[in-house]
Amino acid sequence: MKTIVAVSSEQADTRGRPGEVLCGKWILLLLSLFPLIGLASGTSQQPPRWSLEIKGGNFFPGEDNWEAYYGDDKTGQISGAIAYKVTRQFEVGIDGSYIKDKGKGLAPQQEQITGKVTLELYPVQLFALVRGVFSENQWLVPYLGAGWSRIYYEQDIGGQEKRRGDATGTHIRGGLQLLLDNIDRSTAWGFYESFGVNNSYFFLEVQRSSVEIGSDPVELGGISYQAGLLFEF
Amino acid sequence: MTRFTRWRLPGIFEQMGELLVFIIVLLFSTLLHAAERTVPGDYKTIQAAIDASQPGDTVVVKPDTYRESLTLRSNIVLRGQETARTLLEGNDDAPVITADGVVDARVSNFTFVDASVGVRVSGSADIIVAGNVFHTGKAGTAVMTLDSAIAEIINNTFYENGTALSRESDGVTVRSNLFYENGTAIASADLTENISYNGFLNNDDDGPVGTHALLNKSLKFISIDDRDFHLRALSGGIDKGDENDTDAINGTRADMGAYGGSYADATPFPVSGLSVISDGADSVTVKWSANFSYLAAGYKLHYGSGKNFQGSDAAEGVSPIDAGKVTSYPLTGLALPTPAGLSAPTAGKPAPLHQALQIAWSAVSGAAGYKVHYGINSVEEQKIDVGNSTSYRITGLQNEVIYRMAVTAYSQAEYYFGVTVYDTTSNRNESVFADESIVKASVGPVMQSPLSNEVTAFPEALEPYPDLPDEGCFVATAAYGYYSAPQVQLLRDFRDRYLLTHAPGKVFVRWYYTYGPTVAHWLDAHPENKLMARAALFPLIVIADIMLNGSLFYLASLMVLGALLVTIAGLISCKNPYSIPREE
Repeated sequence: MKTIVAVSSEQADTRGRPGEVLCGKWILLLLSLFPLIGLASGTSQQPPRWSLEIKGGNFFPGEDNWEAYYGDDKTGQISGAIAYKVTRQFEVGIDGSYIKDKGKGLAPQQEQITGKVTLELYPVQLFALVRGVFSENQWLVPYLGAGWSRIYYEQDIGGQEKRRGDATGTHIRGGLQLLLDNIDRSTAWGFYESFGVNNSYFFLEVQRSSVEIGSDPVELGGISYQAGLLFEF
Repeated sequence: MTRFTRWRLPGIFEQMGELLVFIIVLLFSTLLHAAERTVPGDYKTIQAAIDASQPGDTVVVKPDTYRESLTLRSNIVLRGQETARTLLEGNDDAPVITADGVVDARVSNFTFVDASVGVRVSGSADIIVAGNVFHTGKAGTAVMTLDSAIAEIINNTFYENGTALSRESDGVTVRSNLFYENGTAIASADLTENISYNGFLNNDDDGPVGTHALLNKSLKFISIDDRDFHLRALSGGIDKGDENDTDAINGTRADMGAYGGSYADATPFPVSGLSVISDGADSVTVKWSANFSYLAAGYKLHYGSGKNFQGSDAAEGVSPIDAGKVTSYPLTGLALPTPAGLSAPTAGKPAPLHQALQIAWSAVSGAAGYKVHYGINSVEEQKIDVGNSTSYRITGLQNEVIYRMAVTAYSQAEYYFGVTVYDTTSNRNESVFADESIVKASVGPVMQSPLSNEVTAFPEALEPYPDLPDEGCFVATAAYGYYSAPQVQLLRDFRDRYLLTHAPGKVFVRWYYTYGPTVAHWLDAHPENKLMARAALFPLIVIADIMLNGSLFYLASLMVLGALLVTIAGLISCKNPYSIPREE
């Protein structure tokens, strides 16, 4: 648990937040699954090399006062990723997301939260991850990864000049994949015949990113909880 | 086998009983079957109403435009509620109404528009097509009869059809119709029987005109553009229809056309063109366009504070007032609101915005609208009527300058006025209210409430959350060295005006904001390449400048200059063919 939390540079600020606690528990659970699944492992003769995933969920921004300005401490996120599998257990990939939230700004002299502000984030991530897969028919596959993050942003402040920029940081990710082929083998075979998809997974993933910008650092990262589908081919 | 003993009436009473039972059964069956089915209302579509109909039923279609391909059934009446305003529109190439193998049915009081075929009757008997207007278009056929159909085409108006009526047997009676500006009025080969009392004007080919025809006489329709084919006074078609038939409207000998004969729609065409002139006090004059039907006898003026026109306060009388045959009418002494009845609104704390302030206030009972008063030294410097809203954003203000604001409510009496026309008959048939027959108007002086409480605030630039820096137009900023360079501003303006206004432009901008920063960082790291980047950006800046600031003359001059430069460059680079051997 300590190892994971230490990745974040915002540890002191975000301790005790709902997203933070859940994130830590998730990763601990995944770590504990690795040895169990390893016991039931096997090997594949012709493993797929590529994977494509689409996912969506909630993003909990790392900044503390989000709810005061945006009315909620989370917002929606959609993502897609493509990865190359160096081995069945190790892969590298690129992940792109879109996050948007609408809220208000601050009239600093009169200390009023007012007006309209729209924030759009475009995180791009390069990652490497390790998967606990040892058999092509393995029901559950846990995974852990980390990588480089770059977030492009655009802020539309009603009536004022838009603000745009980007910042770089790091992230960790972990999740659990459920092999769908075992549920309906005929559909899985049809997927392979029609699209060359070897395996299809439903997965749940948690990400923790730390991307700071500015001399008085602003955290653009946060914690994401997403679910999606992954196709190996 | 059990035999039941029946109680019997003796002799003549038994026969009378059977007769009574027969009469009751007949009566009930008639009552059960003669239903009126309304569209829309009882049914969503006309076809649904036809399909649900029993023999003897009438399907009544309310005024609107319908686009269906209808299949008629035997023993029913299909009728529009108002001929001029119940439109049946063509649906692709299918006939609007098809009667195939149908016996005893009637189609009346519709206006058929934009159709390839209006009504197609084949292999049917006792079909009546009456009291309709056909305006199917110059390629359309209004009525087509086939396969020895037996039908009566009576008292219709055919205007601007390719073929008004196509028939292939004498079994189709054509009587008391008006044919005006059609390609062919009656396409009937050499068959001339059963064509009588029809009027023909300005058709390319009248076809067989039959007996008692009205040829080349002015028909004087009221308004073809409004599809009002009622006849004006002195129309050639008045009382010239079948002499054995009478008008359902006024009981005289039948007129020709859609508004004559037994099946005519008796409802006058709605009044339109209403306007109200107020004298600023309690009097108004209501004006409207005349209804030129030769049957129009006068108008009724309806008024009131609601659309139910239950006014009773005018000195001229209780609504509706019989105005006679005039097209304007004064109303005096209308009730107005009292000034004391309007309380002041309560203004809330304004929300500061960038160069703007948002102010909100409480609603005031009876207010028709609100005015926002504001200024730097006094609230009376500026005044804006904001309508019936209870909040308003004052824009165009200076940041960090304190403004004073207040709100007043105002009220003005509002009246609805409507006009209907009635005819000369003893029934006094009256038109209905169409949208254009009603007008809403403000009457009397504007009553204003006292000023609300005065509130102050100043606009200021907003700080977004999180407060992120603006790195601007990445590549151009890097190339020109600073964010506020005029070239950078030009590209920003071009982005906002031309790229962010449509989807492909937005995609490009998004793509640019994904990859632009990488190029910009590279330029910052390699300043020796900035000159090259400026050269690459130059055409874009010129295009942006032309698009944003250039006149057509400026654009043309640049194109000429460009063409000149290209020509000069071509001439310089073009080698003289004779010089090569000399140099060699």
